[in-house]
Amino acid sequence: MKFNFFHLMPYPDFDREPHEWPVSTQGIDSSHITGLYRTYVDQLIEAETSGFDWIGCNEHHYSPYGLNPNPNLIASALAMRTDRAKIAVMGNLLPLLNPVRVAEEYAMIDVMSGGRLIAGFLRGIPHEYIGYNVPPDESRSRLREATELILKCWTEDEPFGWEGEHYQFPAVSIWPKPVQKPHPRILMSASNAESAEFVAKMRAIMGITLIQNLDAAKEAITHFRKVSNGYGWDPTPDDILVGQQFCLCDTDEEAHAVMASAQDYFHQTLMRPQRSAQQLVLQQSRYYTGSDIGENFQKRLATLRARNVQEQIDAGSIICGGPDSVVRQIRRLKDELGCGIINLTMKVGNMPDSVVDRGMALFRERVVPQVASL
Amino acid sequence: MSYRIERATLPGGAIDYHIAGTGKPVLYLHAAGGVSISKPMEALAQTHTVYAPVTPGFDGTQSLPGIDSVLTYAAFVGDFAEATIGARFDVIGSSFGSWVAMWLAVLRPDMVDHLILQVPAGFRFDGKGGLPDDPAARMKALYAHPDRITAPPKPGPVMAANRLTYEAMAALPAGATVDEALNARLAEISAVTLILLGTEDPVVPASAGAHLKRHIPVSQRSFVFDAAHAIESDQPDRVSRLWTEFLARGQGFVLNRGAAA
Repeated sequence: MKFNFFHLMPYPDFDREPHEWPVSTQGIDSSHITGLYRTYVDQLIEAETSGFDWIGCNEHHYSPYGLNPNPNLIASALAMRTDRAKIAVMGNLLPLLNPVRVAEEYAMIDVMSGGRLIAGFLRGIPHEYIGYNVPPDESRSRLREATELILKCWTEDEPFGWEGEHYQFPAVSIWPKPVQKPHPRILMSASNAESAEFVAKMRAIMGITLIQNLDAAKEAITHFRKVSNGYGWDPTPDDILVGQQFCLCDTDEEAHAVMASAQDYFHQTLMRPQRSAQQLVLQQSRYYTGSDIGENFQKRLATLRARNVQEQIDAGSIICGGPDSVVRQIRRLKDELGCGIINLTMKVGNMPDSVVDRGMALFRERVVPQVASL
Repeated sequence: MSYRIERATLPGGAIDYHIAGTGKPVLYLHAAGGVSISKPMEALAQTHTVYAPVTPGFDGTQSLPGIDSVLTYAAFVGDFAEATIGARFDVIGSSFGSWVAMWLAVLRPDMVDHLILQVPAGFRFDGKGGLPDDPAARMKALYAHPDRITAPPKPGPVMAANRLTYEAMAALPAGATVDEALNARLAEISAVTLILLGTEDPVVPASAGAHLKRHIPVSQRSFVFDAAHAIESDQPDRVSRLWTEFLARGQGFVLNRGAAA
């Protein structure tokens, strides 16, 4: 079993309940954020010696939800200051970006880290299409084309051009190429049938997050395995990543209380401004189509928001508790889902950094010895 | 712009050819399926005079004595072009036609101005590429979007004869999958060359295009996204755009001229 210390890099001190997205920065002191970046990057680096196999972050825009519009900048710092852990960028939001630039930056990270990049190719969440002025209707076709273009950028030694639906590049030859051959592992979301098809075709690691219940997650993973078989391969546990919010304290009671408070900030402050913008995208575009219409991101979030901490633990949505409880919950995920990688969001909302740091120490001393061999 | 069929009579024998349009001449050399007038060919005839000869033995025509290999056919095409087209022209080849086009560019470098090699045959490395025998697999290898096929199907006997003629002309020494004689002369191709490949094409893998790019002195290559081997059928608009830009601007087609265009 492998674990990713995933950092959303939230702004933890927002003292209002924002009502619109993008969120105003009035009154925000950027020099305070300098300290946050130092703390967050230090936590990620510390994670390497705390039993985590991967360390990673992701991309979000225009709000305190995540201070990381370009996770590749953070990843480059991690690449230079760590030695062993995989650098998991989870990921770049391909439909919003120049795919050739993504290929170049990811290749740089892979080279700088000596071949440790896990390259996340994600579609993003609906409202961010407003921010970069990209039609949400094109999200899937852009993701598909950008993915194939990036793989060509990484694997073709001779210069080439690209004539596509969304992208035209007459002359490409990126320098450097990645260290990992034929290319770094890629990771994509496969929460529904439509996305699973493409993830299987690309032989990517499938990621699944915002689990409402283990049966639904199991069904998605089973579907992914079946589709992958159709493409001539059989996913192993190392090809399946499950994402969870995480809180590990000395006791269950402390962990539950900390998680409840942190999730309150997460939902009421960090997530709140996105809802209306997301609703706009959902109502006026075809961001969700086919099988995922009834199972979209916003509905899953609303379901989780309505549950208390214990209910979320029972449903398999989060991992929370003292060391023994956390070990049991990890074993359960492994047994039920057959996943080989768990992505742990270690700082949820405004969870105190002292709790995150203590959780890392407990993870190294009390959890890893019991779960590493799973 | 509709194509008509004409016949040229040469010392080596008669050859039928499709012709349409007005403007700078383009010689189009067909794939192993024979001539099918594609949307890009129709569009090209709006601005160029397009000559598409029918390889003797294809599409119901008679084979000619002595025209029994890619090399001998390329020499015959040179004679055809000299008699019918003129001293200098652009060339577009498709698959088997690209193979012929490369030999033509080697044999008659004075004639070939711009050269477009679509999904070029004749270079299969490491056991990769080639058409599958299974009909369903063959269809999938040829077309990513079979719903976009516009050319009417050819009668079974014609298709069978096309295949036999192709297999005879394209035969290589036992065990060989690369035309080594041509391979040794790729550096002699002086035409400005564009190599086109389909991202979903298992028949001509990217490695073949990379090899040609490496050895043809002034060459570029482009991937046509979401196209299998029959790239003109799968992505006609993208292929048309590449043809038009490259034939008009040569190496300069890589420059985005923005509003100036």
